[in-house]
Amino acid sequence: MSYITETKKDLQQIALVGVPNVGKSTVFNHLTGLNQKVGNYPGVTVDKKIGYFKVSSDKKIKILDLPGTYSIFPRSEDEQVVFRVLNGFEKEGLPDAVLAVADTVNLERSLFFITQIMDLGIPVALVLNMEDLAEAHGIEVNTYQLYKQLGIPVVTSSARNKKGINAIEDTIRQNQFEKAPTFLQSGEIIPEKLIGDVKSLLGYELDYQALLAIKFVDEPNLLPQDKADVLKELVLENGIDIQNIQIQESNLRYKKIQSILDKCITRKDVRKIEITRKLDQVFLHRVWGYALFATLLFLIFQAIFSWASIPMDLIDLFFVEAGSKIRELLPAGALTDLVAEGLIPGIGGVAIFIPQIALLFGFLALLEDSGYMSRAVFLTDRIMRPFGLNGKSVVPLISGMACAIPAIMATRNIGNRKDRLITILVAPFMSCSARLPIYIILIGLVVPDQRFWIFNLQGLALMCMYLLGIAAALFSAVLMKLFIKIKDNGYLVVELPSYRMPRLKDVGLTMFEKSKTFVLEAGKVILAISVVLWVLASYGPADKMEQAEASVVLPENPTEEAMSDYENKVASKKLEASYAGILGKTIEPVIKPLGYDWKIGIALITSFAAREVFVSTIATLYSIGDEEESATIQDRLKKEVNSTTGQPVFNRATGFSLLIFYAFAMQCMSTIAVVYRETKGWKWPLVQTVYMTVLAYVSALVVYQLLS
Amino acid sequence: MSNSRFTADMATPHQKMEIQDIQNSDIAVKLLEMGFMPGKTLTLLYIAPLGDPLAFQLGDSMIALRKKEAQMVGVSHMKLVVQ
Repeated sequence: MSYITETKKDLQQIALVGVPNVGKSTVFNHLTGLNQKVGNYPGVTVDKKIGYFKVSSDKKIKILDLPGTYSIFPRSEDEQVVFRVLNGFEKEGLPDAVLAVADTVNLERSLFFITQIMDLGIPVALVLNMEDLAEAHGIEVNTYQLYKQLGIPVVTSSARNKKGINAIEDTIRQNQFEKAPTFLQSGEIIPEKLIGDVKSLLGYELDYQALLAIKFVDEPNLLPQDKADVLKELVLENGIDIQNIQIQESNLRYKKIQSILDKCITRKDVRKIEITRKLDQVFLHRVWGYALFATLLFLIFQAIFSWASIPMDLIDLFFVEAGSKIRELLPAGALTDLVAEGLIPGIGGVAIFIPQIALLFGFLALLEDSGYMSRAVFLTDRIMRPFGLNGKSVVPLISGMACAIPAIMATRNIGNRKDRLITILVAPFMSCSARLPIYIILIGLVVPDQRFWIFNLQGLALMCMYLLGIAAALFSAVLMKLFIKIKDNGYLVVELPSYRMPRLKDVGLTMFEKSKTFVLEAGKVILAISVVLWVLASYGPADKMEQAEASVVLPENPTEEAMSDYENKVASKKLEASYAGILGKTIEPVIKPLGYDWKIGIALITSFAAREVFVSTIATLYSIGDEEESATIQDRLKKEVNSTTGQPVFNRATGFSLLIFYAFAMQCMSTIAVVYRETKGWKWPLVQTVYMTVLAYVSALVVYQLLS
Repeated sequence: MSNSRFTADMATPHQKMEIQDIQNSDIAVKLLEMGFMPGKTLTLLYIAPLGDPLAFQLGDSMIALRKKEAQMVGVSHMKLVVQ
């Protein structure tokens, strides 16, 4: 056979493959360390993870970490990506070799996927990972026998304990990858004639390539249109049922794997130390299981709500200081203004999210790595199903009560595309921490500080706002389940892996990588919008701006108090004359039915940057100075009187209307940016923004009209 | 039940079963890929507190299925295995 004498191609890029939960990421992290980056595959939302392995001081090999899948079959985006890469449909072309990571304890399932890859003719090396676990299970693999049966080199490792990493590295350095002999005869599944026809149509050398092409016949954009049409015709003529050939292939492949493993595996009857079984007695218990899960959620919530605020305050302080330093260093002028007031706060507005993202992903990595995450799914699947969500949506949604940004990023773990999309779309309804300052001020205005039985009414109102957010999220999920048309393979077949000690290095790398991706990808959109908003709020028609400044009388006695009062008044007048002010006045007719005047209109526009900006804008508009305590702002707002009606502006109806508006409206450019990044396009962020805004408008309208 | 077909969802915890067949359906492909092959031994380990999903021991791994999916897995006449 020719594959033995063939000279090996110089290794440029290697694909790392394996089924889920085999420790593939740990191997990847060991090989590449911080030499990783995340890119995009065209047309899908799957992240492309690339790392570089240093062979020598001047040679690096690119390692592509493919998503973990159980098979190559057109079902999820993950599987499409695996298919595309291993068939050379990606722009980098076919990988030179495949490093296949298998779970030694569950070799059968791992080999099911790996022998599919072997049949594609790419040189493969097999890593039998989790050797330590296998030993504990009394499983012993004769690697030489396995090598003889499969025809590819086999190394053993226990990547978590750093065992066997050298052997993996040597395999790559010395290019020991081998093309395997055909494992499964495709002719047993589909007619030889059809195989021949497909091979000559697409220029393939191997039978299995033809079989895979047939399985993916209905997937768009893989083949040139003319060839795709011919292939479809061929499939139709031969009466091929794709599901059926996959079932046949599964049967044949598993039978063959079983017969091989019978020769290679010996099982000792060890007294299994079933830690996993013991832990599950508690973790899956009807009381303790939920208690533990609730505790974990509470811990995560605490972390991103309150622990994260410490580094966030520092980041905030840093950027404020940086802005004023720049102002001192650079000559006064428009460019300095742009840098000091537009760009630097904009960058700060991106960096401020890093602590929350890093913390949430640290927790998620711990839960995922330890094997707990799929237990959480097991416990909550039934609860979430009526809302069109599955158990994996719980953690992102709860995290949304701190901040929607990390929450939406955390939906990556939801395998089902439809469930993931719905979770992304409804997560911003959860009451995030940016709504809190608005809620506190508005509730203080419209809800009396009295007791009802043992409850403080204001506290009760705040709790209702949180419940309202949850209700809106779940209601919208049900609604979207009806309207979103995505092929939904609504099943739950999830492995509950053995519990393992999480590896801190992997957790740390996840935290780093997620923060980096956020800053680089969503960050640019956030920065761009925040600069635009800054320009709108700081500039206006030149004559109007001058008039605004001149309209305030400079105090005759320039005491500190008088001067600060003067400055506040100027800031107020200027904001009124700015483009944002003009916009606010323009939209007044639209928001009037909700009980808002143009000042609130301006605040609605500026707070599109982030909800909490509402408070500082209102403070500026009423010349309070945005450093004041919320009590001061409240007092001032209470006194505000509508000039035409003589009634207070912030009456009960307007207050509740605003509360409802902020509970439902999108009002957060960072969320839009991150949804754009996670759905890889503008369609869904737009749909979401329109939906939320319409819901907010209508609800606020109803509330105002009912109460006024 | 008048029907003589037994399916995996009918088991009680710790009951051992032998897989007979997988009913032809959309998820049959997925179940087969995960190793639900005729002839394999299946043990029901846990039922989620709300009665669904179910966790099974299959070979050396534990896999959770919804009831609906477990109904696709035909099993041999069940015997209660006293442990």
